[in-house]
Amino acid sequence: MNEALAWKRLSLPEDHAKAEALEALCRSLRAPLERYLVAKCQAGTQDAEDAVQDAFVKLSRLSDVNVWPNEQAGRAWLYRTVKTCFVDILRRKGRFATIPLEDFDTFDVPFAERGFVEQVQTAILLGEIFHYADAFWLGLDPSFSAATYERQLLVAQMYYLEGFSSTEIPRLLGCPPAEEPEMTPDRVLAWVRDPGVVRLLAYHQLCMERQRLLACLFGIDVDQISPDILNGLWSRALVLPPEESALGELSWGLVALILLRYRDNAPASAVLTQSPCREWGYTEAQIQERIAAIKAALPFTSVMTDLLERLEDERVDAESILGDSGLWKRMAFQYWYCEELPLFDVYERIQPASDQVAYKLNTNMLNTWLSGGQLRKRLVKCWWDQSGGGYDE
Amino acid sequence: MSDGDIDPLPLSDGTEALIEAFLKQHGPQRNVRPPAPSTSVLVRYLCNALPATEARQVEQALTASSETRRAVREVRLLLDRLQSLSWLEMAVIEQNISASSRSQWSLSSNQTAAIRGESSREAETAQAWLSLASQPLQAFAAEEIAPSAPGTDSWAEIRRRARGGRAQAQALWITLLAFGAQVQTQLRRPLPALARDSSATLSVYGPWAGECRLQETRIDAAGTLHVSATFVGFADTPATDFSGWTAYLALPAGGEIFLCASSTLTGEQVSWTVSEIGVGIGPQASAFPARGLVVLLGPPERFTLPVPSLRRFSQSLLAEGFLIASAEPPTENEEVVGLLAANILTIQGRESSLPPALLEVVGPPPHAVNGRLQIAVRLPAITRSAYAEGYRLLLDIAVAPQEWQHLDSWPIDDWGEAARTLSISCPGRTDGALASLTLLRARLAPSEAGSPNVS
Repeated sequence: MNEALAWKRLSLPEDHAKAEALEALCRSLRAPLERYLVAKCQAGTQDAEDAVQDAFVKLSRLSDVNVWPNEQAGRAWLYRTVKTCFVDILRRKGRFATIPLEDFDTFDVPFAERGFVEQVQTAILLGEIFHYADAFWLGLDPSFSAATYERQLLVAQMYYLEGFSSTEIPRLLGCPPAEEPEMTPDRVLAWVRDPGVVRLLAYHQLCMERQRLLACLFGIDVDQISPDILNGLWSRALVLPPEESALGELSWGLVALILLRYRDNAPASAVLTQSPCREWGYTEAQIQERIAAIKAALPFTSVMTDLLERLEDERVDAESILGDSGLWKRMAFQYWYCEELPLFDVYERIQPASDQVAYKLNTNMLNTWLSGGQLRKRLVKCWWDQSGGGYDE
Repeated sequence: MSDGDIDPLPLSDGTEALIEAFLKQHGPQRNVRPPAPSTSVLVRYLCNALPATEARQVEQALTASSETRRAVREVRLLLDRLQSLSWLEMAVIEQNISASSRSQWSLSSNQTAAIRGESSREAETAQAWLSLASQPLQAFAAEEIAPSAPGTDSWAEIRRRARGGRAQAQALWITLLAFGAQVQTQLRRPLPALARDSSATLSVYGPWAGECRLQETRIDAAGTLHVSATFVGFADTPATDFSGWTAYLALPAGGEIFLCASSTLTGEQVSWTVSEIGVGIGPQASAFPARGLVVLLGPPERFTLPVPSLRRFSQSLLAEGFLIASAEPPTENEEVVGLLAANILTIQGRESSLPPALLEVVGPPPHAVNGRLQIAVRLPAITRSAYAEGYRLLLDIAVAPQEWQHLDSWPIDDWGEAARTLSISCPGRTDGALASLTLLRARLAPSEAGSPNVS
């Protein structure tokens, strides 16, 4: 029985016809659904098998199967349902929390929009929204998986940052999974010249999470930095004289200020009133002078200069590619939602780099993008459209 | 790229606020840095011996650290050097590692490719590679892939299973890639002039005396082979008698065949799709030569072969002269069990553009006894006359997907008509017959050439 016929027979009243149809659908769709979960949602094989099983159980229990006008609609329902079942499995394992009903009430979400919110929630939990953000703003191929984006980044890093050749790189990479493109020297060259991949490289070089930024400022290898090390530094900074030398050219006073600003995200204006600055008896001018010194040491300008030098390739117009607003929107989105930085801190981290490719960013723009929710709204709209309402087989 | 023209979805303020809060609560954190992989993990990664999930963790670690990226290159170079040593020299390394508790070891020979083991990374690379190379490849024989539905591919399924970490599937995947490499080499052989005209027809093994005319053979950008053909009887009439029969598409190489897809004839028409085949046989022109393909035809009720099935028909096909063997009749008691096409290397150790030479494997199939691999090889006169002077025969064995270990080399200046039994010391290797002849790679290199390029 072919799939189209099976979907039709599913709506017949006879039990045996329904059972046959279910069996046929199970036979033809089980493997692709499992592969879909493994590739798109990074599910383990066992979880994928369980989720697909649960989805078919749901299908068998549905009494009103006439809701699907055709085969495509039925498949769309199944693909959405396996994702939901997979999230349910993760929830049972304690990985994810569900949206409590009271949240819907607290935020005054209309009943008609609750199904949509739950689908967005699933996409966020599975990392789909952030994956799509890479495609949407950086200009990567949306049909590629997160694993392929990682390989693209790795290829670009090896080519531009390490200086490995296009013939050498395929030999330094293992075989991609069966669904991913094979690596050849030609593909390496195509990828490293792809504007989306160049932006992806720039994004990873420039968008620094807390720990990486602190490692740069302290002059420590990022692998050596841990919350324990940072706590140790903080404890010492509280008791040692602020002008005493601490790390390289940094005094304990500067170490404390860096931790307040970039570990605890304290706004510059609030640092003066916080311990240990309060006890040191610094004036506001003295604090501002030190904060300005730290700001001058932020690595974003030098990282961008270095990157532009490395991107010198006659077939890559780096300034034009990186001058596109998408790169900076992706960074702003990341800093706002994942690092939860205040708007002025987002500006402080993006503007030094964007200036070098003549992209003029200002705080009003950031205010519209972030506080006004413009980036989020556009991303969610485009994700919804391209996935056919959460369905992206 | 501009997202300026996008109108947001018409959602209530409450929904917008909830999504905003949820994004902030569950945005992926990038603070967690993957741990740097050990040297042995890098070796297994480079040799495609890691399950997909672990391979992805390695790639995440590579993107996170410049030091790890340099380490993987260092390991690759060490592997290249190890793979160019003979198996015996590998065994010496193994003994040295054991004797020196992996801290300090070196090769006693004056090999140019000597690895001194002055760093722990060298010792760890050698040990990880030795451990991989010692794994037996016989396991694949038990691997059964259920008969596929017409037109579906099983090569992709094997690859998926192999990436899932299943040992038998990994062994089969290694074998298939090695088989693909042999097909690729054989396809580089020029055809005799008379055979060229037959390039538009497929050879059919089965109760069929007419023609099987090719309509399409191409490999697309994704590496999928598409083949369609028509059965034509006398006077160019469409042959519909076999409608409903099963037709297997097969790749022959070295006296073995790989059944890569099955399909059912509809009228006189048949078509097959084989994905992933581009991975096995390397990048080809979009048109795939018909001489690389064979069709096996049979009635559905008694013709259900597991797909793929290596060696299943090789003996009978050879016996009926179906597979092209050497033009010379074999010497008495020298039954040809397979053919190996050998690429010719340049003096720099790279593959030359010369057509490959043909070697015949005779007698019992290659097998290991008491740590020695025995292979009887005969050089056809055409090979002897072209390469006897100043060339050496190099033999390698597939150890991991697209990774070969050099076994040994022999000068061929004094080879006569008779076959020679090559006895190769492979200490530590499990005794038994080699699962497939195509696990061996033969190459001819000028005697004064440097270490062959292992890639």
